[in-house]
Amino acid sequence: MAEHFESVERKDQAAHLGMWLFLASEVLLFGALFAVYAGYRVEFGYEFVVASSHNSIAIGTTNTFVLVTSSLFAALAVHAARSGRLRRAAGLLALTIGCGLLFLGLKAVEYGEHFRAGILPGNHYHYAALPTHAANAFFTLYYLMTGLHALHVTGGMVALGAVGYRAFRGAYSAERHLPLELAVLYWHLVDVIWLFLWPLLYLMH
Amino acid sequence: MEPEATKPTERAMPLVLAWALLCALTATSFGARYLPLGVFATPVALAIALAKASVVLVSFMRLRHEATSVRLLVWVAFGTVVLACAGVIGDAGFRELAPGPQFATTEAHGISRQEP
Repeated sequence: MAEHFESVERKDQAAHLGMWLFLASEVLLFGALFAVYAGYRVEFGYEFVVASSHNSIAIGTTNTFVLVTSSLFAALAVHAARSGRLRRAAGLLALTIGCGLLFLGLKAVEYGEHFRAGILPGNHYHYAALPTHAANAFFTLYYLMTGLHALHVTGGMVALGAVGYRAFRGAYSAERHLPLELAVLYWHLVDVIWLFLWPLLYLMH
Repeated sequence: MEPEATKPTERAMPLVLAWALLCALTATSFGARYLPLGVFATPVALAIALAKASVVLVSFMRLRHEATSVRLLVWVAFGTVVLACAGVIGDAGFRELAPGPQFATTEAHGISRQEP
């Protein structure tokens, strides 16, 4: 323990505060994109609704259930770690990562459908069924927001994999498993961001 | 071999119940898409999303157990996003937009503006 912490509890509190500060910066990062989306949505309301109807509601909705379920597994992993069942925690983290892979797989299927149709970001957009400036703007934002989110899902899976491996190897205990808790906090934030992306990109009508 | 639990902990059932609530809210949001809510469709969808985010923050992320400074941090972060969005919406919603050169670039790529 570093000397400037008067107790282990204080050190854990500082680590939690640091993690939450990082999560807040992530919220602000996505918040900038949400603000851009809001501006375009006001300007191109009807056209954004038409463009969003070309996204797969089935894939978007399935992915929402997948991420919500992954958050349950992650929360149960922390619960298991707190009670000293570290192998169980590692197994639950593996399930969480599995959900993340399923999410990314479904997202790749959707991207593939878009690519084949000519729905590409920026100047590469050439979707014949919706040749509008607003649709171009919508799908460019769609790729920015979902792409950035997918990067966060990938980062979260790597972090969960690292702490899950250490949990499996018995590196933690019921009392000392802070890295596992912090990695799971990050995963939950990835879930929270998707909860807002889903209605804005898939459910408009 | 998995060791026995070393200390009594909170029950896991509230986490499962929170997940069930999240699934129910997701289904509600999905169903609301097909209701004739008009201009309220997006606010309703975002309100449900906010409710779901609150469930995740409180139940899964254990925000209630965090220090006051952390709870304040979360409020400030989300509040800043809401303010930024409100500012942009206020600007875009009440500003007169003249059709101008912003469409020239897309037209050069063979994409024409289509009026609803």
